[in-house]
Amino acid sequence: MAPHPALPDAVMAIFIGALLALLSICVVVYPFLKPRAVFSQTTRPPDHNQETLEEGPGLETIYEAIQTLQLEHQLGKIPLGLYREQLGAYRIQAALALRQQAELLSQDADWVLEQEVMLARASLVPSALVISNGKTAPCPNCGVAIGVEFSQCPECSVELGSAGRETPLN
Amino acid sequence: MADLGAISLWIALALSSYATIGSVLGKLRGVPALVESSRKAVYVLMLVMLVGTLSLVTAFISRDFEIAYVAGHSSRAMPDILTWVAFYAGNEGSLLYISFVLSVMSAIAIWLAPAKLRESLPYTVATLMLVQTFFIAVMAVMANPFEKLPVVPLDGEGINPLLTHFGMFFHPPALMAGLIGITIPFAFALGSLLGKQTKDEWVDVGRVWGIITWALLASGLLLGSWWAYTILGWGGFWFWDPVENAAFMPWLGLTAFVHSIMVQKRRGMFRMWNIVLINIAFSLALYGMFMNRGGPVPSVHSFGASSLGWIFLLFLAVGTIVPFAIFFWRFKLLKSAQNLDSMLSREAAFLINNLLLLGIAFVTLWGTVYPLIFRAVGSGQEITVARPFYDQVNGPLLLALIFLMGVGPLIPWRRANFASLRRSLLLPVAFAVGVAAVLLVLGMRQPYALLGFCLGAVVAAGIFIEWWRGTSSRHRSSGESYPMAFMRLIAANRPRYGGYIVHLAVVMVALGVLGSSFFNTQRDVVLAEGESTELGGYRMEYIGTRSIPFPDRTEFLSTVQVYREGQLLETMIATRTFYPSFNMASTRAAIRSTPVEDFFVVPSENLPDGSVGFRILVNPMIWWMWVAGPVLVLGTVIALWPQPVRETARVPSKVRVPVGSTPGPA
Repeated sequence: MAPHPALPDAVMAIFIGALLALLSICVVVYPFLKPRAVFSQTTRPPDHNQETLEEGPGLETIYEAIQTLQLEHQLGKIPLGLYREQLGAYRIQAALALRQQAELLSQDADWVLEQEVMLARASLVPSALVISNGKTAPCPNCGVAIGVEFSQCPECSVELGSAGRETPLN
Repeated sequence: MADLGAISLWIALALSSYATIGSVLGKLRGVPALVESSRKAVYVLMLVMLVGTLSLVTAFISRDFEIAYVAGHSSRAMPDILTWVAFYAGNEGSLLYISFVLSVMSAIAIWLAPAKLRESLPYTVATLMLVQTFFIAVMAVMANPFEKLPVVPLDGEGINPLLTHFGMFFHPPALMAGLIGITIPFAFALGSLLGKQTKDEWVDVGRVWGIITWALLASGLLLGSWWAYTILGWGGFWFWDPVENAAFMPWLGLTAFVHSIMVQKRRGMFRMWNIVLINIAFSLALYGMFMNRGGPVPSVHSFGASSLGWIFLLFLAVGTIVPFAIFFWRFKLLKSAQNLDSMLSREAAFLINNLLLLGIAFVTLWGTVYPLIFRAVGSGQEITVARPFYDQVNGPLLLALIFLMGVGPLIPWRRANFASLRRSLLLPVAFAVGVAAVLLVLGMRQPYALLGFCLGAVVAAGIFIEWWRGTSSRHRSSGESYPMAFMRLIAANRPRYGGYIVHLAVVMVALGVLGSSFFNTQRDVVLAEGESTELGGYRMEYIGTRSIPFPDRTEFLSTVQVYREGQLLETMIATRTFYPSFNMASTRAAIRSTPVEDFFVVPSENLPDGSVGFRILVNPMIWWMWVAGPVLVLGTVIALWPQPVRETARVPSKVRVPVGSTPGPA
């Protein structure tokens, strides 16, 4: 029988373990220290453009279905009458999906428009966050002083209602 | 290494618990930072589990016998190459392996999850991490792979001799990865229910992970059959052992799921059914793990006596009841977008296929649990449900399934008519009739076998005819050479033809099963040196045996020569190895394998007078079964290979122009 191994192994294990624990804590705590990234993900409207392209019975799926239909027709599995009937049904589906996509994209465009206006206005003044009448209030999320008429913080993108904002600083 | 491994386990337990609770709380309370933090915990958990896994691997390589698990599953005489096998040879190590695989799969799945699943992803993370927490907690508290011995032994007990086989490098890892991998599509399904994303948002990711897991399980089962065939010494590959069945049933459930999910993807149908199927597959996977670890039936495939049975039984109960309860809770949200247009459609064929697969799974489950029920209520009397039961009940169901595999792909989506189906079936059926005629002329009279071969012929002919038509059509229209036209046909329809290749692999497995089950011949004989015996047209002469001593074992190598029609075909060496420390012998069959038949010889006993007891078999067509494995993997890879991104309709560019910019380049 051999004796137990020496102490340094245990010390090394504790050291590496402590590093691992520290790394874990840092990674887990990081999102709490970076509110901008978190809020930009939660308050920004979903990217409808991307979503529509990815969603279930969307254009991609219908395209695949039409492709399969054409293949099976060419292989002689679907007679002409049935092929035309099913192709018509898929075209109607595709038209509906396109209309839905267009609607979603127009909503997205409204949101982009709003952002652009806000950023354009902010860029007109020397300090991006102070407006001409000089009245500002801190953003409840990131704390940056913003003109009181802003409905959305140009710094962190959080929605700013009148409730919850503090008294103007000046 | 023991300390580092143990520390990493506890950190992993903290992370997985945090991710489980944080995800749900963050979502319910509307704290996005908490949701994000929980998601990040999944990534760092993978790193922590990697450290734990490497700690155990390093302990094995350095033969750190301070760790009880290393001392129990390795020895100084063990070749280093077997370290990988020793790692999961016991209960504790296999749990660590499962946990590590789940952490990797979870991190990849969450990382690649599409943006449209944003609402349900926190619940998916919570589900994955809850399962992960269970495994890590079991390890940390009940089956710690880093537990230390009070006194360090000079040498370990060594690895189980049955595991010193090439197949063991892949069979257990593939099977365990497949069983735990079912958690991924299951978690996405459950997450979509809890997050009320009950349409088809989870379908793509569920399908991809379902197919990956299915392929892992199928490969694991095939490799396990090959291992049993070459090392267990009885000449078969499937015993309907309860633990074998426990791995087979989730595969059946997943097979049903990967077909059914196609219908939801294509038509927005079977939404409820797919949730039910993935729940069933997950429950069956948990049942498999329960049977494997302290389950009520001892088996060559299980981890022997273990006290973990009750905890896995409890997890099985919770893992079955809770998902179904959530399913019923969200039942009203799961209405399908469309209805079945016709019973003569691809969708209906998939539904029947699902019912047959579940039927086979139910029969297998009944055969597995009936002896346990009988023992419990029958005052301790023992009965065994063996191969005749499964052959009689599952045999016809499997034949019906092969029939459907031939007919299903010939039926188009939505609706077909009988005239077009008749046209599509004409050539495959004619080919099958031809096959039947040839087999009858050759003297085959078993109706089941004849039917099986004919159905296999229908499937194969249907696939090859479609490929031929598609290839020649491309050749005519674009002038491509035939090989190029075929490659491009496959490339343009990867999911479809990847699936067809998998169907061909299944037909190959069916050929092997039918051939070796109906037409194998066997003889047990004792031969002295120079004596010979005959079987199935072969003559085998026993030349002699030499023994080679090793520190941990003695190998007996028996040399035989195989003749056919007086001509020497091959000189083969069959091995029987005795391990004194285990008081166990393992065998390694000598096999002359051809597509027509295997000549199989295994030494079952070495007698003191130098004679050897041999088991000799001639197994027709079993070669096809082992070749099916790579074909199956190839088909899966083709089916999953991403399609090139297509240009889809875009919104008119003027809407996207930033405000304030003038027309022209922005």
